[in-house]
Amino acid sequence: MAMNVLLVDDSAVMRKVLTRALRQAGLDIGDIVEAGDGVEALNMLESGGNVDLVLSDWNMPNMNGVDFVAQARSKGYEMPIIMVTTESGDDRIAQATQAGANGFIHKPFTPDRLAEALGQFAAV
Amino acid sequence: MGNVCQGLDVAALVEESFREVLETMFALPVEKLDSPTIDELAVVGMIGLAGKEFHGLLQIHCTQPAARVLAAALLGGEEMLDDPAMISDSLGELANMLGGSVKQRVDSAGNKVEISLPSVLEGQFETHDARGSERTELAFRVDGQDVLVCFVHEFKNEE
Repeated sequence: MAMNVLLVDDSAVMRKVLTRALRQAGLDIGDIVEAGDGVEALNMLESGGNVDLVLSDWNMPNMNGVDFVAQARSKGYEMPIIMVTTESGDDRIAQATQAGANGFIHKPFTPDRLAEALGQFAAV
Repeated sequence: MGNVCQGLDVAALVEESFREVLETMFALPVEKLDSPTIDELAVVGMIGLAGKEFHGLLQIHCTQPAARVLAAALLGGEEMLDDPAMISDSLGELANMLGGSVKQRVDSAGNKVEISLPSVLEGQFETHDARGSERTELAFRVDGQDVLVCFVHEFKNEE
């Protein structure tokens, strides 16, 4: 069954890059919806959007990616959330994981890397 | 005692990172040039890297037509390029990804750095590097357009 994806990134360009990469990755992706920051993303989840998977940037205005993950988990949202970011290092990964993130994709990434990271969550 | 980053081949890591972003991620052909052949630099995407022992400013300089080619590659076509902001945002995102790739390589060499948010400048300007910094310049032809990548950097605590 196709997975509906929420992209959370303050860069409209990066949201387009991710949309294209998702479509090229050979995964069964349904609707893709976009939010410009963590606050907007939480509002979209709370408005009842049917989201199966979230890809979130780390550094964003209003609410950053890690705070968004923590808030989403505290509100009971259990869908996989993957961080897509230039942040790296064991401390950052630990911080995101502790907040409730399920995975980490470092920018720049290839469609293959995206498929590998999302393969366990999205049907091929 | 010398800096742990002293062994870094800065030119090589910048070239590897630039190729990783454009060739691997966006399938754009990249050819390294012996010298820059850009007459009128008009747009620059920039991002800073800063750590305890190493810091620098990465810059992608190009002309407006080159910026348009790069933006079209990121966005998957020219449909959105009527909005000039999408072109400058694309160059900023390209600088962000280049910075992320360089950061990974510098981190791997044992010197953790953080990167800044990207910035984009348009227009004619001169740049003057801080005293003590080193400038590495690499010229590339990307899908028929020339692009200049500069990395102004400084190793701290050098003997």
